[in-house]
Amino acid sequence: MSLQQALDDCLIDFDRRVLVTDLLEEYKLTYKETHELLEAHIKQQESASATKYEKRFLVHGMQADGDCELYTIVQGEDKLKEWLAKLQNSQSQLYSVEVAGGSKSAAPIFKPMQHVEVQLAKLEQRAGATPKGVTNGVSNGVHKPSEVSKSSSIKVEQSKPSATKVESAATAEQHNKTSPSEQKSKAKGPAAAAKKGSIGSFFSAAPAAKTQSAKETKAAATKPAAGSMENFFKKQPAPSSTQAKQKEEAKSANNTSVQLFAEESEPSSDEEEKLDKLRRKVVGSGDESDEADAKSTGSKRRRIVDSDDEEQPQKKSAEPQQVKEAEEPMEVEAATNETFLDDDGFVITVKAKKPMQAAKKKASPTAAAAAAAKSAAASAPTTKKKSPPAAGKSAKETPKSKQGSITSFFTKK
Amino acid sequence: MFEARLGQATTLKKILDAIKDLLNEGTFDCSDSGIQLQAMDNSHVSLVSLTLRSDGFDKFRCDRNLSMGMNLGSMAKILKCANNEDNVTMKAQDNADTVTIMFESANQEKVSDYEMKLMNLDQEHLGIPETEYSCVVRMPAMEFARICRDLAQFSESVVICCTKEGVKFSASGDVGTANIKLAQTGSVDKEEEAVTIDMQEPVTLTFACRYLNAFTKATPLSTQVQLSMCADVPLVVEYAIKDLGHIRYYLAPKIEDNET
Repeated sequence: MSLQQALDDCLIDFDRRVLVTDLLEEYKLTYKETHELLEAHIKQQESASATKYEKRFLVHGMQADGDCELYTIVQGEDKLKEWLAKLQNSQSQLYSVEVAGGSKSAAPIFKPMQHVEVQLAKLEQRAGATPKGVTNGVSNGVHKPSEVSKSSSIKVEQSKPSATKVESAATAEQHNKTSPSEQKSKAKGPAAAAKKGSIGSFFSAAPAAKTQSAKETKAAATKPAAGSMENFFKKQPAPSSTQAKQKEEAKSANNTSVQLFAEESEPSSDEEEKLDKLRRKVVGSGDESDEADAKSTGSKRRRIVDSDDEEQPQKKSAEPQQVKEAEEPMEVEAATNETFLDDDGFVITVKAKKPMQAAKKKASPTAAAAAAAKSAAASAPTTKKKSPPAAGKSAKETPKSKQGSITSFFTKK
Repeated sequence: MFEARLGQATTLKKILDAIKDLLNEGTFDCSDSGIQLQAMDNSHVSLVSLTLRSDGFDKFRCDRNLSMGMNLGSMAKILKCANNEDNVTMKAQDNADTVTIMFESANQEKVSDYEMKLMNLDQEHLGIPETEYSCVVRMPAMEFARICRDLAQFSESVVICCTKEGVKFSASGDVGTANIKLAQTGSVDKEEEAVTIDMQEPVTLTFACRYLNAFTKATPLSTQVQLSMCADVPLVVEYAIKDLGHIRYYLAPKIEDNET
């Protein structure tokens, strides 16, 4: 497309400052041609409508004392004349044009409007595919590289449901490797949760502030039996919203378990129906009081709770359930590290726990403490229900304040 | 030479009981104006300041300023040997390493004296600045002791909130929450039962129950207790010792822990 055509079709937005250099580059014209075309267009526009254009000129010349060479950009023809008179051997060229009184700054990268439209249209066409080739600086907000791998992984699962475990594990591993950011987010999620709970639920305020933090971490590791997992959960209703966020984040990240759920929500194939049946079986047989079972099938159950109707008798009160729901995604998230589900088994989720904890340990010391607490709580599941919710509360209260020292208020004589 | 005589041993007993839970040792600084003791508890969270004026003693003599470091537990043991109505006299020579505590029965028929070794204590003395407190609450000492005792069952911390409506003590813990509000008494027949609040600005501070309860050991010394509070300044719990002086406890408030 030629510049003339672009001007005629009003594809150049003069509301923004249009640099002549941009035009030169875009339309591969000489300066002279560009200048002439532009001047002609401006004249035409100014005569046809009341629109005034503001020009800026590049002025080059020697200062009056002859010492200094000077380049400057001046606004308007009046100033141009002034400067030309001021400088020796001066010359000027049109630098930019914009609609007078326009307040918008120059576009970072000059693009005629049609070009932008084309780009957008392309993006829309490729909505499902990788929006990789966006190079014009126009962000459409759908560019998420993580989704690429996600969709590809889904494809693999759908197309090859009979893949061996080894294969799936390998893909999972690869999956982990390819998206470190995801791993980070995974590690972050549980760590954050531990941060919320660990101090609050397991400690009481120590009068001496000196060794408090050290004690806290220690105690978190050593006193897991004092507060069961349920306590731990009960304590967290307040931050449930943040956990929900984490949940969402987990979804947005390449959480394969979540992906599975998403797929499950659209029953399309016989295999999925089979899976559903199996799940129902598991749910039917699952006793909620069986803590160990609950541990291993926790993620499964969540799915069932999510997908099935709410007729199932729920022994637990609404609050802990809420909390549990908020908590469980973390396990699910971790489970993805291990492998995908195969046709019949959900045991794979249990296997995934170890790597999750290991990842936690690696992530941060607090996460490690939390993991230790968690594992300890898991190892003593009988204490789960005894957990005093208040212990959590008091602990919640204690970290808020620490005991000050009297010496900090009074000076030594 | 130092010699101080009190008409009733019970007063000194009460004083010792009021401080021995917080302090293991203390230095009694004796001068012609009286006896003073200032010491921090082991964890440096609270500070005890005891002042016994010389004119409150039946007999008081202090030729030279004297600092007597004492093990308060030992002193309390000795004082237990005295009857409440006994006269008690403390004596020490200049530069002596012992103090003699003598009990005389009311009828002078029984005289017992105990010599206790003094200690060289290297204790820090803190300069306590003059502070204008935003809230000064005066209330029955028994009531304060009761409140501290009750709230300690709920939490390790007590929040004291003083407004123009009154003073509120709150605690929240495993059991639940507890709130005790005391309004300023309108008119009371007995002055010792009055609750008065002198408030410039509302104040809310959090304190460790353990220390407050330790302070209430001084309750037998006075019918009224005075709580002086100001934001970000230690609480002052003051018990007046009638005609003798006062005992003041300073307690550092619990502060917001931003690190967590």
